[in-house]
Parts: sequence; C-alpha cells; structure tokens
Amino acid sequence: MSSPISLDRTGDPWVGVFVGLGRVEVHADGRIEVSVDDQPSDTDTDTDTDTDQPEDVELRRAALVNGWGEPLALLRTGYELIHGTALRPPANADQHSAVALVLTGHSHDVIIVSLGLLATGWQLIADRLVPVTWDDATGVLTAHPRPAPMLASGRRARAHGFDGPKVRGDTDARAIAVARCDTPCTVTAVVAVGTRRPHESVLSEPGGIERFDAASHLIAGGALSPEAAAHTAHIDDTAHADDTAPPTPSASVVRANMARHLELARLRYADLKITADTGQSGHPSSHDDDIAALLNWWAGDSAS
Amino acid sequence: MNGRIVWLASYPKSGNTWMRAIITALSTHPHLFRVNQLGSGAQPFAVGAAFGRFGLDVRWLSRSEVDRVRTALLLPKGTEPGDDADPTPAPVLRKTHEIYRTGLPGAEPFPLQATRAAIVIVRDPRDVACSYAPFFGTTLDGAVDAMARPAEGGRASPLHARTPQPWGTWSQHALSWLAPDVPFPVHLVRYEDLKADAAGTLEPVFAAIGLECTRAQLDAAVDRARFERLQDSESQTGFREVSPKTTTFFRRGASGGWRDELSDSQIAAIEADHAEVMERLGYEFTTARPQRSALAQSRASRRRRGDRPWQRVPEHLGLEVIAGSVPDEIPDAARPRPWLQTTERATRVHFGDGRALLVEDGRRVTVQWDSHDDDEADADLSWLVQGWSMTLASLQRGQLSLHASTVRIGDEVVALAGQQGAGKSTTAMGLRARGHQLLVDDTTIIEFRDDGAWTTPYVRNVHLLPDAAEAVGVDFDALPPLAGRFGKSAFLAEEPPLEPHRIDRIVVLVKVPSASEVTLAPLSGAQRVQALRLHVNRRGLAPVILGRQRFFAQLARLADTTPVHVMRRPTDEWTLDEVLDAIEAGAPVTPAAPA
Repeated sequence: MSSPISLDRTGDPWVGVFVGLGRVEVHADGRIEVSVDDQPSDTDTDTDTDTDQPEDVELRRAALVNGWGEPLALLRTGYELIHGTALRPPANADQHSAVALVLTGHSHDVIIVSLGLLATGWQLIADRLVPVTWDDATGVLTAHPRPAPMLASGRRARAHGFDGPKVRGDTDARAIAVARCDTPCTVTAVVAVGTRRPHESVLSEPGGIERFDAASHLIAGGALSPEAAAHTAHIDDTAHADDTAPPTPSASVVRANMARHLELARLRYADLKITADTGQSGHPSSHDDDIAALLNWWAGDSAS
Repeated sequence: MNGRIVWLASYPKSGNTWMRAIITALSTHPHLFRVNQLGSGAQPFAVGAAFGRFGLDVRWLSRSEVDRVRTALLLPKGTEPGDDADPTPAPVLRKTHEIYRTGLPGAEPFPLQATRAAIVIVRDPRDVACSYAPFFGTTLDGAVDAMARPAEGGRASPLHARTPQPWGTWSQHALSWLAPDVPFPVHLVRYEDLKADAAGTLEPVFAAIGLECTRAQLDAAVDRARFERLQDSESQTGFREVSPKTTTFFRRGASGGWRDELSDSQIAAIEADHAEVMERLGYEFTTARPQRSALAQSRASRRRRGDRPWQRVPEHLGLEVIAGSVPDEIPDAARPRPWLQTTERATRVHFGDGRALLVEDGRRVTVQWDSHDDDEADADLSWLVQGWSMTLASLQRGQLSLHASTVRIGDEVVALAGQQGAGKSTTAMGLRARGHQLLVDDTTIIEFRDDGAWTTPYVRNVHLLPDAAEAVGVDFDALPPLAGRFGKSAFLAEEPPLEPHRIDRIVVLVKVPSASEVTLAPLSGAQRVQALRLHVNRRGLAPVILGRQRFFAQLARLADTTPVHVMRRPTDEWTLDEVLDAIEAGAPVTPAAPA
C-alpha cells in the first residue's frame, strides 16, 4: 500500500499530492498552483453526494491553498513559522508601536482565547501558523500577516459573536470573519494556553529551563522547519513519524538552533490555564475570567 | 513479520501506561527514567503531526481526508524495512484505547501493512471502574454506567486534528481485539498476571514481537517501573498525561481493590454488563448466573431508554407531544364514559387528580400530569404517549388499534392479542428471549393494504409485572416504574425495524380456568370477528371515534384477511415454554374448537 499523501521537495516546484483531494505545487518564488481531484476517491462512500459540484471543488481548492500551499510557500519565501496564533492588541494612546502576542498550545484552547481577545477589539495577524522574520542585529522578532482565514467551529464562533462559511461540507470548521491586522508587528510575548487541572493557577510565568523549553518548541519543525526549506527531500516513505527521533542535524544547525532558542527565550512568557470546556447543553463554558487574567498580565507588560 | 507497529491496546485505566513505563525503562538509563519520559504515547487518532510531516494543516480537510492522513502518518514508520544487519527491525510500540476495526483502502485505522502485532491489556472491569471514576471525574456509579455504554473517546473532528477514537464498552473493546478475524497476531496480557509476575508474563510476548531483551534487563525494567516508583516520580514532577479532572494519575494500581471500593450493587451491575467477556477472560463472579442475566436485561433496557424524555416520539409516528394544560371541557363532545370526552377531531381522557390527556387531529398530544410524590421522580410516563395517544391518534386517522403485542418469528409476523393480564407482554418477551424480534408491545396499529393488515413498529416500552419479569429473566427492581400504572415497570427492548410489516397471524391469548392444558386452535368466519372485536374495541373508544359503521367494516376486514388462532391456557399448571412452543410451531396443537 502506498501512502495516500506525499510531499516531494527534490526539485522546483515542491509537489504535494493528496490522493482524492488534489495536488499542490509550490514554486521558489512562493507561487502556488493547485489542481483538485475531480473524481471521488475510493474512500468517498457517500454515493448520494455529488462531489463534483462546483462549490465543492472550490472548497477543496481553498483547502489545498490555505491548508497546504500557503504554509509551504511562506517557508519557501524565507519566513520561519511559529505554531501559534498572533494577535495585535487594540491601539491606545500608550502604544506607539505595533506589537503582537503569540498564543501557542492545542488549537482548541488557542481558538477559545483568540476569539475572546478578538471580541474585545484585538486584531488577527495570523491564525495557527505565524510567519516570522528576525532582525539579527536587534534581535527583534516580527510577526507578519498571513492571508489564510481564521478557522473555528461554528458553535465556538457564535458564542463570541462571530460567524462565517463552512470550509468543508462535513465538518463544522468555519472561516471566521474577524478584524485583521495587515501590518507586521513585533512579537513581545508568548502565552502557552492549556486546560486547567484541579489546583492549577490560571496564569503563571515560567522561568529557567521551562522557559527555554517553551522557546525551543516555538518554531515549527519537520516539513515546516527552516532546515526543510534549505534541504529538500522526498517525504513519502523515509521521513520520521512524530514520536520518533528526527535525523541527526549537523553541529552547526544545532548551534544555530540553540542560539535561536535563547533569543526566543528572551520574550515574555506565560502559561495560561483555561477552564475545561465541558460544552454541556451545547453551550461553551465561559472563559471570561481566563481572558481577564491574560489581559491583566498583558497590561502589566504594557505598563512596564 | 508484517510491519513494525505493535499496538498497545487497552480500554482506559487498564495498565497501558504501566506497560509503556516498563518498555520505556528497558531502553532508558536508570538515572534518566522519569514518568514524563514515557514513550509510545502518541495515539493514532491525533493527526496534528501532519503539519510536521507534510506541512499540511488538517483543519482544512474533510473527515474522510483526515482518516487518510492518519493512515499516511502510520504507514512510513510501520513499513520501514530492516537492513542486512537487522532484517527484522525493532518494533514501534503505539498506545491506543480504540476498538479494533477495519477501514476503507487508504484509510485503515490500523493498517495491516504497518502492523506487526497487538498486545491487548485487559484488567478486571471492577478494578477498572475504581480507577476510571477519579480519572474522568465521575462517580463510581457513573463509571459503571460509562463502561457499559459505547464511548466515542473524545472529540473527533479535523478542526481538532483528530480522527474518531471509539472505545466501545469494556466488553466491546476486548472482543474487538480478540476476535478471530483480526489479521495479525494478538497477545493477550491480563493486568492481574502482570501484577503477579510482570517479567514472566512479558518475556514470551516481547520475544514474539521482536523486542529483544534479556530476562535480567526485563527484571530491571520491571523494577524501575514499579508502581511506587511511578507514583514517586509523579509526585515530584507531575505527569503530563494526567486528566484535567484529577490531580494524580498513579492512584492505587491495585488488583482486587474493587472489593473495598465498590458496593454490592455496583459489583452486580458490572458482572451483569460484562458477564460474557469476564468469563472468557477468567474473572470470577460474586453473583449467580441467573441474577446476572436478569440484571443485564434490565440494565440494557435502561441504557436504551437513556435520558430520552417521554415526550420524545419517533418522527415516523407523526405525533407532536407537549406537556401542558388540558381544557376541562371539549365543546359538543360525546361522553361515552365518565372519563372520556370525544369528537371526531379531539379526544380528552381524564385520569383523576388533575391528570388528563388531549389528542387532536390524529397528531397533537397534550399531557397534563403533575407528579404527586417523589416516588414518581423516576417514573415513566411514556405509556401515555405510546399507548393511549397512539391509539387515540390512530383512531382519529381512521386506523384500528389492536390490543396486541407483535413479534416477528422467522419470516412470520404474529400479533398476540388479549385482554389485560392475558400474557401478551410475557409471551412476547418470552419469544424475544428465544431470539425472535419484538416489533411492538401492547398496541399494534393496523392499516390495510391490498394483501391484508399491516403494522408499522415503533419503540414502545414493555409493561411488566414482577412475576412476568421473573418469568422472562428480567430484574424487575432495576427497571423504572410506570407512573400511574401501579406495580408495573417499563422495559425497553431493542429498537425494531421501522418499516411496515404485514401481519401473517393473530393469536388471541385466553386464560381458561377450566382448561387442563395449553391449546392452540384456528378460528374462522364469525368466530374471528367475535374474538377480535374485544381487542380492537379499545374500551369502546373505537366505535365512537371511528363511527360504528367504519369500525365494523374494519373489524370484518381484519378478520377476513388475517388468520386468527385462539390460544387457551389454564390459569395454573402451565409453563411459558408450552405457550412459546405452540406459537413457534405455528400450526394448531389441537383440532379446531368452537369459539
């Protein structure tokens, strides 16, 4: 059995193939070309559904562009990528520069906090994957706007007063219409969002090794790592799975990564533990107190 | 050997993490072994790794595409070939709580090509319940119930980068992995055997899956992964896999702790719910087989009933049911009984104590019912909807309501008619226990087609008295009582097929004090009309609502198109088996007798 998904980075363009969904080509200049499979695959069992309907093709095209082509194109055009969502706070008299907060963690937790902030006037810079650049001279990390729309479940979005069209027919993922920031912003803080366990505090600031550990996991790895942009390979049957050791990097790469992680560790960090979302009765749990704790912490940063 | 992946498969709280600790300890320096360094924990449902592997954001995918991502992530590692030095590469162990199942090509949840074997870890479900409750933040009763309900195991959606991860029930989980058609070797490990002799239990299993280690290494790994050490490690650093509902993962790790923690009723419930698999896996019981079987029936009924509000009626019945106020008077209504007011379009039934039912236009049902005491808190009001309302609405629609339970016996559909106490429900339940399909109890709605009388089954509680419940092997005390129906409980059988069925035969059940044996005899002509009349009359409602002419026309048509037998049985000295044998046989057991 051959893999239904492959990514070939041995030449230009990079070619990704998803059997039954389509093919994406990402050129060195960031150009993305997509072809959508117009035949249902052998795993499409719903014979009542006409998968060739024009709107469905467009949904699949958008999925290939936003979910695959764009991340690879960002990588190919020189951006490093952070697994997280970047947001810009509402402008006020005390803030003269454009700054960004990056939220990391499980997408379910991140989306809860993101929507909570967006509902209070924050703007979205990039959802789920943040293209960043470094100024090596100053050590400034800049988050750049990402074109792809923000995704959230309809239930979650509506609970915060947002909504948008579904991105695929059989899921509740929706492209949410939110306020967007279209200018690059300086990343000043990173908040790791997780679910609060009994006896855990809502917000804490990690230090020492914990902070370095958090920083070392910020930059996307694997196919989206900076090394992946530099070293091409055919990812089909040789690359490592998620729970096994990656190929040993060279000493220079290790040193460069270490330096980068130390730079990242200079940012301001917090762990935000939000209320477990029970989702009982179809109504999401309230996270107002969690958002308030985050805003309080953020305000402390601004004041300082 | 096929692939490299060896599935560490278990129902939650069955020792999977302990097994992973032993395996991790095998390959970790003693000074570095910590609870947060456990390997093999990446479960196959989590497909967020597609980001790192392919640069693919799965949130944009459909559900079937995400299933393919799961397979695509499993295949490369699972099919990595060996080399000359090591032609059989070491196994890749992966934890899963999912039931074993197959999938479409390219979307197999456990792709055969990547799979070498499975180690299935089972644990006494009574101990599982004790561990499950605190871990998932529920009560022991809640844990017992949860283990008997097929579980989905959490959110499954591309947005959360997760495929489905069904756990099934405790029994389903074990049966799925131990089924004979699982296409790779499955090694069964009992938690209790691990507790008694972990190294001795695992040595042959590890050898079989190609996990190389000496006995000394294994002994050392088992020692490093001792429960107390894992507890100690967790107390120092916490454990990242602990549930958000609790503070500690490693709780007791005991075998047999259920004897101290569970009540007798909780123990009985688990033994009833999982008797078959517990017996197969060698777990001993504290309850007797008949007790387990009866309780299992009642608990299954309660699960089917679930939290379904009594107002909820299957759509195909075309009823709208609300709880509300019923007017005292229907204008211009006939009053054929003191408790009944009816017109062509509306019927009001008065039950006393301010309790009443109004059915209008064959569709709208209003129930006015105030509970008078706490004893009715758990009581079942569905009989008002499934019985009275169905009958009244059907009559308003011009259909007959036959006071009968209907069962499919092989290819034959048999309606068992009879007056209250004749044994309709008991007989129907007895036939169900013999493997026949209960279509509907007590109220069979008749519609006529060219080839005879038909009925459309619907979900309907079976009303059982204690002796009837005992006769058909159901634990009466474990069922919800029927509100207002003194002394009866509600049993919910499996959902019947909802398509219409032609009624092939009607058997009228009659208790005859002077009879000495069970007899079954066919009726003909006027005998049929006479025998059926009592059972379609519905307390005189049918002639009133349908009109006498229409009522008799339908009665005659039913008698004309459907064979009718009468079953006479003594009031004493008879057995349910005699009745069931006669009905199953189909043919009369004695010559025709005059009605």
